[in-house]
Amino acid sequence: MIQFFIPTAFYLGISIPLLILLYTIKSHPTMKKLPSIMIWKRVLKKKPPQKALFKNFIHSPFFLIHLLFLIFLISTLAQPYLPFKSNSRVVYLIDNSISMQYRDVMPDRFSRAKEALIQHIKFNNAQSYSLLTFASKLQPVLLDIKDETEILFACKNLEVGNIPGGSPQELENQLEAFLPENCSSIFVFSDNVRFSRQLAGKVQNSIEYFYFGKESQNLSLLHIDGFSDGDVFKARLTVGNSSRSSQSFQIVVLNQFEKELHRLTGKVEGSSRWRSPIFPILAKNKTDYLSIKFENIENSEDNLFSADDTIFWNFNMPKVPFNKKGVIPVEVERLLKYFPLEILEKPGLPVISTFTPAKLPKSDGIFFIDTYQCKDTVSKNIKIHFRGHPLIQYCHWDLLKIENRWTGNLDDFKPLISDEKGPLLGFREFAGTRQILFLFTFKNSDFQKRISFPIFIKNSLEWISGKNLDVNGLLRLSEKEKFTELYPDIVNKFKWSLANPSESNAFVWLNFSLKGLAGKGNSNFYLEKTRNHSWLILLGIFLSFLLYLADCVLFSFTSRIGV
Amino acid sequence: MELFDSRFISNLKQIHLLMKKKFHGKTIGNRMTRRHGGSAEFADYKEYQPGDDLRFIDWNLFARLEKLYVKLFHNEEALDIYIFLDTSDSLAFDEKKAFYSKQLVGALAFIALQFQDRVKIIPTEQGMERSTSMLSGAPSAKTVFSFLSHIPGSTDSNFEQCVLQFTKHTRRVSLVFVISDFFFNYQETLKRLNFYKHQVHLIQVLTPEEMHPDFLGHYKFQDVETKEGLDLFLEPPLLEQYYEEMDNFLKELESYCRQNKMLYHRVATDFPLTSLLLKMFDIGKLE
Repeated sequence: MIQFFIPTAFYLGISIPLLILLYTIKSHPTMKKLPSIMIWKRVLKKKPPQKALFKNFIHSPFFLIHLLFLIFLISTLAQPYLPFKSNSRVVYLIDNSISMQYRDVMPDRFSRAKEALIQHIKFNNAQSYSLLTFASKLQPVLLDIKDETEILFACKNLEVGNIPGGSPQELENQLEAFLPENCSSIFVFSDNVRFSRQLAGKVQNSIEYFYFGKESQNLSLLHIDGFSDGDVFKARLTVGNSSRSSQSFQIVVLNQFEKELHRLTGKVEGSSRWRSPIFPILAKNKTDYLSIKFENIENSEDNLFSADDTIFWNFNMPKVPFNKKGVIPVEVERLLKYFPLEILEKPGLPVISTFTPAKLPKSDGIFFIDTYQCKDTVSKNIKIHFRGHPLIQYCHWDLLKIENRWTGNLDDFKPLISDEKGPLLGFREFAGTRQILFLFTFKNSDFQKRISFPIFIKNSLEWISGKNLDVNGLLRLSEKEKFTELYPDIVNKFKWSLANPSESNAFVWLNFSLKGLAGKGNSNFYLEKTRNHSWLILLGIFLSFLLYLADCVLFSFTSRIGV
Repeated sequence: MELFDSRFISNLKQIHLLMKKKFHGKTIGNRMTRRHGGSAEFADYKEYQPGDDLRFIDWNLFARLEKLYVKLFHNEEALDIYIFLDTSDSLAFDEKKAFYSKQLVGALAFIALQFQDRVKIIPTEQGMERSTSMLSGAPSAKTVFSFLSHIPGSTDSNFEQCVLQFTKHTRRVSLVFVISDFFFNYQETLKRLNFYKHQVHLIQVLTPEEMHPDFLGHYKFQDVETKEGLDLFLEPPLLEQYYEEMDNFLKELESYCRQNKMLYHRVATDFPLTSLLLKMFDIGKLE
């Protein structure tokens, strides 16, 4: 079934009845007096024809052109696509132990888990599904089912039991018997269970966990207050000083997070996406790399984020070649796109962000920006440093200024920026790693939407990557150029996580790729907010008007000459 | 506008109208009737009776048979010709059609007057008040032409009423021409013309546009007589149906004429009048 990325484009469909109305008003018949209409009446008596008005529409070439034009425009803006069906075989495990009856989240943990499970199935589009429940023992509900409706029906009928949960090891042993061949992924919906890493080795992709409880609210839907649906951002990467080497691409903001995911998965797996031959530019949306992770820190003792506790719901996309010219745009648009401002912008909420080299096994070029709530006491002894630091190179200082500066504890981080209006920026070298502290409050702040923000992130990344660079020294242009030479093949990843301590400790991480930059010279990227195809819509309206005018003129002319 | 030029009129002088039915004229004219009279054309003999004109006794026959016989001669009378001219809006609306009809009436009247017949032109209005008097003699042609050039189109045309009055007053066998487009319910009305054994000619005048309209697109037609409207989108298939229906209509009229022993002629206004008259004479309908 065809789906649409931007269904709101159909609001433009209102113009179609308007168009018909306009043509109806215009379509006056040619008046002709006849000596007698007796013969015509006899003709009509035998075979009543269709209404002249309707016929008039059919025979009006301008009307048809006009209508087709509008239909093309609307369908292009709506961007239809055909969802794909992947070859994956997935296993769903849902916890129906007594603990899932707990109502710390509304209506209860099990209902939330069931809801999330259904949602996940709908968007997963796997080749086959297996569904099992578990408490003290594993109970298969459906095994290796291809029909999505069947498994959805089974999910709706699931009920929570009164048995306490069993040991994960026992469950794991039982699970092995039910795993289909070439099992792609296991998705676990629970409130606390966690299987061993051995089990993860038996599936092709990974085991992903979804926890439900006060401490582990699943953030499956993200709404972005700052942006409205259909907003377009234009991101541009420039390599060197030549404007010719710049690369622009567009980002469309969608409120419906899952749809975007679906679009991405569809893109990667080769789902057919309609591209209008008339308005190809409207369908030009790049989807290159996106990984979204839902994080749970239920088991953490304190409120601090710990990499070891991370649990991923990972939509890792395979690498997609960027473009034929070899210029690789940076996927910073995703950062802004999924900033959950409504979650973050709580009054007085302090957030500490740090850049740390990855503690994950794959540490080659992977960096995290970890964000978490800081509980420590506030220290006002902030050292003043200089503004010419490499981390803020190419950032417009005015654009970096913020209203409410973080006044919290810096621990042993050295501050970098002295300005009272500037974001608090600190660094340290810890256990052979370099860490950057980045502090600001989200209250009334649009900092993350500013142009300089991604530049700052990029600078930070470069600083962390370039081991020989002195943090206290200026980053010279020649050294910056080395970035591409040093890391031509590395896919650098950021992990952006944001805290929402007032609601839960769930995290949303957004990974985006920063591929090796092609070309030479310094590299910048920035974002510009633009209107969503407004010029095209205006052009469409203008062309519509012209067509209508042409039709009127033609009609007047043909009426005059009596054709 | 002159109805005819001099050349056309000279052509008309060579034609005269033929009455196939027996008739009795009211005045002396050029048409031989079965009634015996004083023409030079021998008709029969009859035995002499006292009182017969002695000038007509055939003495040669008396010499052979020794009996007196009187020669009888045909009488020559004038034929009464009535020409109904449709003055309804349907005919008057199209100038060409109206002019053509008037020309036709004028031509017929002229031919008749040249032949010493008596002519009456009756515009189809509520009654016969506006019709001409019974005209006779070639000089009356001028009156006819003048009359025709002043006939207006009439919104209260009523052919039925006109025919009713005509049948009330005219019982002598006559030659009747009806010139119209016949876009009305003609069946009952025309039958009345047959009551007194008149020889009836129906001449249907149509424009080429009426017979084969070729305009396409969205049209709103208005009947000039009834003011009735019709909203139509004309396409080739619909036009084809129109042609078919028009053909049926013409065939119906033709068939009606055949059944009622009337003579039917159909003319299109783009057809030259002289050619039309000659064509009609060629096929022996009028002469």
